[in-house]
Amino acid sequence: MASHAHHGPDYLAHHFDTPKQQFDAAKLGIWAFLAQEILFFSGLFVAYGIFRFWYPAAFSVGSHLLNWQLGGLNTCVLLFSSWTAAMSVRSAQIGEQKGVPADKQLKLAGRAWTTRFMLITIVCAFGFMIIKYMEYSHKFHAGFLPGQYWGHPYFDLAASAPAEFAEELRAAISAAAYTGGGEGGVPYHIRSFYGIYYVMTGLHGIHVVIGIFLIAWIAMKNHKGAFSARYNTPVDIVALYWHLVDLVWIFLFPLLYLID
Amino acid sequence: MATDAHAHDEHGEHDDDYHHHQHIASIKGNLIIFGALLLCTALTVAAYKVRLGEANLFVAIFIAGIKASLVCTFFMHLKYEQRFNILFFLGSFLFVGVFVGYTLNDTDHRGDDVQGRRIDPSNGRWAFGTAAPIADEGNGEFIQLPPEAAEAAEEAEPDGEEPEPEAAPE
Repeated sequence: MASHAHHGPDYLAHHFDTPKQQFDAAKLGIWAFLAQEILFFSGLFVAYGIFRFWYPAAFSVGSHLLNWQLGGLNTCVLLFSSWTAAMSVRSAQIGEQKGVPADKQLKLAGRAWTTRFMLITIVCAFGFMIIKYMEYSHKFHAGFLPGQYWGHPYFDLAASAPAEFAEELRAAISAAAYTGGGEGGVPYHIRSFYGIYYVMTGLHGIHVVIGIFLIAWIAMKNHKGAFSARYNTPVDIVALYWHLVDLVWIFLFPLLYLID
Repeated sequence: MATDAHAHDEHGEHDDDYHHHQHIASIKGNLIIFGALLLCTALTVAAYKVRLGEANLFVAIFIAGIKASLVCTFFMHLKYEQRFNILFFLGSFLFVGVFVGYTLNDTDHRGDDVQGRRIDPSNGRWAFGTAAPIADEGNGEFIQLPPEAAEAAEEAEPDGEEPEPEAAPE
């Protein structure tokens, strides 16, 4: 009989009977968390739906002010990072191929490749945040801000909008073919669109930043040799989290940047 | 305890009850999914550029749905996941559907809230439980209601379509 101190492999926590039980519990845990994340974001998607149906014109003009090329580039960056995350899982599952002849070994697999793929994922996450920063800083500078701060750069109510504010707004109004009312021909509730834009992309951005820390942590553990073909659950789980971040952005991109 | 029966398994022979089996994706498979996702992204931009008007929102959600399914099924290995976990995760989308469906069915049919009064945007008439000569066009402009809408509102009100809360005590 195995004593309590070592009842199985090193990676088996003492409150689990078998590695399979531990793995299944971890998987159920992450799926429950991801389901919670979906519901968490859904509140914002509902807010989006309500306001878009109420103020379609404001959403159209607001969307035409966004830079869809940068949004699209960010979509590609995140999709690529999802691929590298999936590849890091594959690499970790295959593990070290000791004793396998060099010509029979699976490519892009093993501990070193797992670390590499995770590092590439982190680089993509930084790339995403840098592009997001460029978009935000331009909007902050020009005064495309939510609520009462609309037209007031850097949330400074005493400051008045720079020349680009009126120029870009005119271009967006003509691109959206908006001819309705509102002060200066601008749909009033464009303020609400920007409120929703900042909260949705901001919350998503926070998830990206958290993802950077989580992937870095697991990549470090992997580098130190904590995982193998037998035990790689944390790599699997952190990748699932990262795919969810990608999943949310897949909806945010067309809903915010590509409104007709 | 199953533990004891399998205490020596860590060095080789093991059975299914002890070790989990993971699905390992191929490089080619992952690349195909990545390519399909990029293709869908190009498609969603193309759909935007041709200006579909009313259909814009639904086409965008449809394409995003395809992309999301690809990510879930293959990158997240949902296809090879335990049935209970699949149910758990996909179940959340069901509840999002209920949340979105019921809420928008309400808000989209009561019109905008302007000083406590509402007009139904689908027919330009008063939403139930409201009566006032102003409405919001959705652009921040407050306008007078056309006389026929005001009449319709007068008619709708006494029908008791929306009883006062205290009048319905059950």
